[in-house]
Amino acid sequence: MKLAALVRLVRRDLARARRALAGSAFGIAAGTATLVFFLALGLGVRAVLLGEVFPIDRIELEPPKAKDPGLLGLLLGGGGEPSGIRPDDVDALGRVPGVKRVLPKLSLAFPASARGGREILGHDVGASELPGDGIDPSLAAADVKPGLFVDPMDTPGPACTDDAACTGGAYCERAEGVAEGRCSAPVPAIVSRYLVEIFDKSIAPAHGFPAVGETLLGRAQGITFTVRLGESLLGRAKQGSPRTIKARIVGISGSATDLGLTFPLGVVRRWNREFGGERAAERYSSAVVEARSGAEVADVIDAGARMGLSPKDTRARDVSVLVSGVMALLSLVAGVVLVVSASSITQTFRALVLERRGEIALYRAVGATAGEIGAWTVSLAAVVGFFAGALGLVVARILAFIADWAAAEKLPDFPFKPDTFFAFPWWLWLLGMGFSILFSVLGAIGPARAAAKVDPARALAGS
Amino acid sequence: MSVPAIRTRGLSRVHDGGRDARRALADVEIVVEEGEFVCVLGPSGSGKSTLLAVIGGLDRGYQGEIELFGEDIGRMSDAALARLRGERIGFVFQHFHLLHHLTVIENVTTPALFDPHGDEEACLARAKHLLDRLGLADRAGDTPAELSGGQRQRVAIARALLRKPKLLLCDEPTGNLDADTGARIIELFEEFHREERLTIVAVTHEERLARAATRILRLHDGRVDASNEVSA
Repeated sequence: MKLAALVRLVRRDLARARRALAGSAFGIAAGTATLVFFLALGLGVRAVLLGEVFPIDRIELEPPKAKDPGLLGLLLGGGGEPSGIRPDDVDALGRVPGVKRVLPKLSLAFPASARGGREILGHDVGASELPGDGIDPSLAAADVKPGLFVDPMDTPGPACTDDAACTGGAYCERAEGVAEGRCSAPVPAIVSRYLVEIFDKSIAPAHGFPAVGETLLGRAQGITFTVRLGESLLGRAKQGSPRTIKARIVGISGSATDLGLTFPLGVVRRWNREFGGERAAERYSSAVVEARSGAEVADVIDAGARMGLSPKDTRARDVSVLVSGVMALLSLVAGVVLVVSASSITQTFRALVLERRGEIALYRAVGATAGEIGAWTVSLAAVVGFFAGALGLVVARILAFIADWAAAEKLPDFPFKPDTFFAFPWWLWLLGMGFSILFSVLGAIGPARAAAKVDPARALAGS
Repeated sequence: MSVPAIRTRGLSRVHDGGRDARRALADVEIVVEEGEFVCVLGPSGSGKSTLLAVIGGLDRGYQGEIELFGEDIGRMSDAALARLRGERIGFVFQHFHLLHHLTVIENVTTPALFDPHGDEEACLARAKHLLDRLGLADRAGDTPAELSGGQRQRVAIARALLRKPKLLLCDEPTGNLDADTGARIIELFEEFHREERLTIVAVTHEERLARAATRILRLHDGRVDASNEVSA
């Protein structure tokens, strides 16, 4: 049978049995809508959780923590230092299959504190202990305007001996024992969205400060802090003399450390050398490994484990597993709906075949093979599945719009609240359509076999 | 020596009804040459319709051998037999078996749906030609419900002849028609037989159709009564 003939047969069937077919298509449409809605919801939520809260396509590996020295060790002044990651290890990580790039991090290896924020908060606030990291500036390239997050000493200013010699907000960058320093623009720093959320939701309300989320983004270049290097409330650095520098927050980035300030890597290396020694300057505290896809992160973790490195934060994996589990559960529910719908297709098509035994027998008499009769029935089901799938997809999209609207209007503001809770990648549309057609066809296979087995002689004699 | 259109050897058919198994055909041996118009006469229940269904390949539950145009249909696959039916056999039924959701022209062209090599335009032209010849040219757009019994049977004949079959199998073709309409249908069979050398096998219990045939076979309790074979 030619395709055109099959199309003609199916078109005639759609016209004459539209009511019965629409009834069975409704179930398939409902199942498809449920499946696509839940999958889109799961994908959307996972995109927010793993894209913004716990990025999963990049993982931070760190060396083993310093061993617990025990009571005797403490009394003897031991305590062991973290081993750190050697530059050779960073290169080796870069060669692991599935790794896109490796970006080492260097934590501040000395005490520091900070004070500032008058521009936004009305008066200065301080952090008596300032954790901080140094990262490769390319890690924050997507979040910060070009040229802002770089080591200011890449383009040093004029020679100086104190801050008074520098103009335009610059300060004199001069380490201990160095006779002459160079004027430097405030050191650029970035903060995490997590830190901003904590400030806006917890600290700001407690102290009566305004929320800084959007304001900070808009006025990022105007927030300057003074940072006391080598000294904090809890003590002083083992070497070097404490000094004060200027820093400026230039943006919010997912690459920034959760709590604290993040500076360009070269700046922290210089400071660590000054206050912590050569080892603190050369051994990285961790390495951010970007995988080509989330699926390859597991391989990266395994490779890191062979080098004695372990993930710093397993929340991403935990969240990924949790979200995948919930998605699987919801998809199972949708699958049940589709299976039930397929049984509805079976009933409808069984009735159609029964009703058309005479017609089928006639087709057999005029030259149709059993296979052609089966193909006709299955094709009709596939077309029903196509239209039901299209309807289901439209319904799922409309429901997603409604859910997003309700969330925006009715749900209170919360950290990382997204504009949409849904993701509709192109493959989800294909998947929804595919499942709709598949379950329709599966439902029609039994009736199609029955149609192909109609005994033409008996059916024609019985009419 | 030409190959006969139909040859059966030891043809039997038992309808399996559990304890009530019924023998519809018993050791039927017939030969129908190409171009013959054979009428199979017999009372109701004598196995006439079964004979036609078996010969036409619609019923494959028989024992024995059936050759159509020299080919043993028992050895054919379902697809090959379906192709043979479509290309070489036309069926005309007592109850017409027209599809009521289709127009007359759509009914006539139904066999073309299953012709893998068919030309749509040529098929449509053939259907119009047949309807014209059968006096239904002006009814092509009507549905079967709008036609009389005789007109419906003529539509069924047009459908049977669409793919230019060599063999026409007719099951009580005049059984549902009044005398005048039946006579007109019989004339049509005679015309097609005479003008197109069509082999026709018609089963009936009506003598008037038998009178048009070139040979008459009588079937009784599933057996061909050779003593009563009559040549016209």
